Amino acid sequence: MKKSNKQQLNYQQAQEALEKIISNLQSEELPIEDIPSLYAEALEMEKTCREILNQVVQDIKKLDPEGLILNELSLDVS
Amino acid sequence: MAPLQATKELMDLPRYSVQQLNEAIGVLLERAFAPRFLIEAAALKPVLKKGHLWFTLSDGDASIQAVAWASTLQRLNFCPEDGDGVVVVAKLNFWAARASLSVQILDMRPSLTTVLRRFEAVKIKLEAEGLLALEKKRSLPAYPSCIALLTSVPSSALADLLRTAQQRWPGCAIRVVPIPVQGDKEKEICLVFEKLEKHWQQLGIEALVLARGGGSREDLAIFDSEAIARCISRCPIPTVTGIGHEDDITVADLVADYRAATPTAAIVALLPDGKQKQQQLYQQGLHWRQYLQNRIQIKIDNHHQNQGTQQCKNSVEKRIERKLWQLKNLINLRSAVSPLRLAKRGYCILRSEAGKVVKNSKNLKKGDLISAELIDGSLELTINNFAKGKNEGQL
Repeated sequence: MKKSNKQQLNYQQAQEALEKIISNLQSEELPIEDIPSLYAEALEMEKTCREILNQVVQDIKKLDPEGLILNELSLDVS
Repeated sequence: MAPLQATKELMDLPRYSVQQLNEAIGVLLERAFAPRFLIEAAALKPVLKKGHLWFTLSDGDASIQAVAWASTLQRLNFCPEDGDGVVVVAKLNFWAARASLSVQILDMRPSLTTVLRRFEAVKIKLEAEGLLALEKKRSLPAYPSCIALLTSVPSSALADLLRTAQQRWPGCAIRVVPIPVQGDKEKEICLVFEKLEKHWQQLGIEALVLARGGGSREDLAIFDSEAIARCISRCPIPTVTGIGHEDDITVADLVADYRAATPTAAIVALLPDGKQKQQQLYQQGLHWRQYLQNRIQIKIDNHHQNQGTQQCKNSVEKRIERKLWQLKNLINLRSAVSPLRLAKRGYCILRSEAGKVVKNSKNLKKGDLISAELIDGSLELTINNFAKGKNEGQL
């Protein structure tokens, strides 16, 4: 997976890609020579999933109900 | 009874003109009666006259005229229909010129029975059109990247929604759309839905939450709006409702793709539990690494013909990296000694006429035919001469 593609993946896509790679890795028909590259791909996808899961700061914005324009939301929400 | 002018007692009675009497009644009412009071009654025969709403408040046994002035009517969230139960905050309005008494409405809202009757009426109508059918419900996205929260801002409901989202799935972007959540404000809410209908793709929104914190059932009456229900039903993205308390069900809840009991429950339903997913990812990682390790180990064992077990290292990761390194070496080794690879480097294999590999000059003589296998074919050669080389005896 190219890095530019990786950056665009959401969790679902990364998780599905990871499961597909794992499924291939676990296939008895997979030539032993192909394991290292698939292994690297699996690590990459797993990393993408982990990065999304480890995200701490939530992207919160307010939409103006009149125009639905993106605006920063005041932190005072209570 | 004796003539009036003849009675001394009568002479002592206070004497009023009609105007004075009415004014006195007015003063008395003003002084003696509560300035504001609450009445729960049915609103009968409401009529609009010059912008003012006139109707009769009745509880069956008694009735009184009521009026909501145009200025009050404009800010009221509710206008009753004939027979609606209402709860009003009011004061007495005494018109001295005619000694006319009425209840002046300061605030008015539908009573619970009215709210529930309207809820039933809208529900039956939408049900008949199939808008509440279970097969219309769409599944929610498993891992939404961006969701919209439609609720009042600021509010405790929004605070709950954001806190729960942060706890569960911080990777999901949140777009907060402020909406009124009480009163006769369905137009504003419908407008937001119409905007979302047009821009949801551009904004990347994958699902939306319609939420409102707890309150009385009457306070939630706006979510029984038929117009809002139709907006939800038409909405191109899945909608989750989290309105009021656990037992409150509004029409919006019935139309939504998923009805959560509270705002917090709506986020729980929509966003996966990140900590649980982390655990699953970890377990999954252990499993496939173990599988891979076993498979590679079997290959290595086969290759080395059980040359002894490898010493275990501490982590699975290190072990598997090591196995892979060994695997790569194996692949490289196999590649390095392959005839094809040697042929690429300029070496070739000589074979006798019988097809046997020629390793030395033994059994060869002048005139024998041999073949040389190259990368792209083979040569047929005849031996003309043989000179003993300097490598003799070294190999």
